[in-house]
Amino acid sequence: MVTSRLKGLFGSRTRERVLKALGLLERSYPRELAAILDEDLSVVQRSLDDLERDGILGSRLMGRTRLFELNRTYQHYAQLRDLLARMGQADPETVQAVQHLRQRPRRAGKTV
Amino acid sequence: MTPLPRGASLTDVAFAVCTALERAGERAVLCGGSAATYYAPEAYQSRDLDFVLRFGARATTVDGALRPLGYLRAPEGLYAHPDVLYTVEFPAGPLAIGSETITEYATEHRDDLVLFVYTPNDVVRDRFMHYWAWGDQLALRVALDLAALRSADIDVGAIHAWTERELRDAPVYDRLRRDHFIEQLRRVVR
Repeated sequence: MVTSRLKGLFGSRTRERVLKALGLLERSYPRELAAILDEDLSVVQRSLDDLERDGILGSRLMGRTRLFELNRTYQHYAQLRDLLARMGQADPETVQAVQHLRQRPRRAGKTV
Repeated sequence: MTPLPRGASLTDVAFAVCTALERAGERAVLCGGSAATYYAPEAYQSRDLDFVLRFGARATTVDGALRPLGYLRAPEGLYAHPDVLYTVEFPAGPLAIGSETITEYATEHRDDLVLFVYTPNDVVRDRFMHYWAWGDQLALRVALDLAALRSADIDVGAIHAWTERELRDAPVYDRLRRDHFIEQLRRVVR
């Protein structure tokens, strides 16, 4: 029931999940989001592109990786950021996936 | 309307596109970096024109309005002309700078053509917003250069008051970065 309401709000289930994950992560890149959400990379990429075209997300290149985050010039940026952070925290599955990915063993000395 | 000629300037494109859309019943307002170029090409040269459609519009309506000018929709959603350097894009509305909705803008005329465009004061706010939100140094320079070139149109007090509202309503932006900007703005606007 909740999911169907959110699908109505954000346009699709993937968009909703991408936004919730970004609400927790602040910024991320397509491959990381696809891993967290266990979604096909191309599906995540399409959602990110749609959200960027709609002005909800912004992106910038860091080396060869395109990092996405909420668009800080979006009219309702502050409110959306708070809403998504709350939605993300209320979704144990997403919280666990984010924690798992960000706490996995990393090569010593590798930058975060 | 007739096709735009090879070598058309950003201003030529801006007037032609805005007029074509207006005649098709769609109000479009030029904003972003292209509005800065319109007012002060010596300060910044944008290669793409950003129009926000005031009431939204069907892509087919926009396609039909821009086709006679020679602009066709590319797969990535922007409009391109085979002989003109400038592309045209329609970022999602509404017209807004920070959390403030923009309801007033300038109306410019050239012969029988019309252009709706952010006021110089709003272009300065819009460019500053990009610096404020993203740390975009180029946007900061454009804001200050435009303010210096159009100082008679710039209301530093109003801009400062707006930044205060943003800090109060959406406390996510850096106050020091704002202070730095206002200090520089006061220096260039006399």
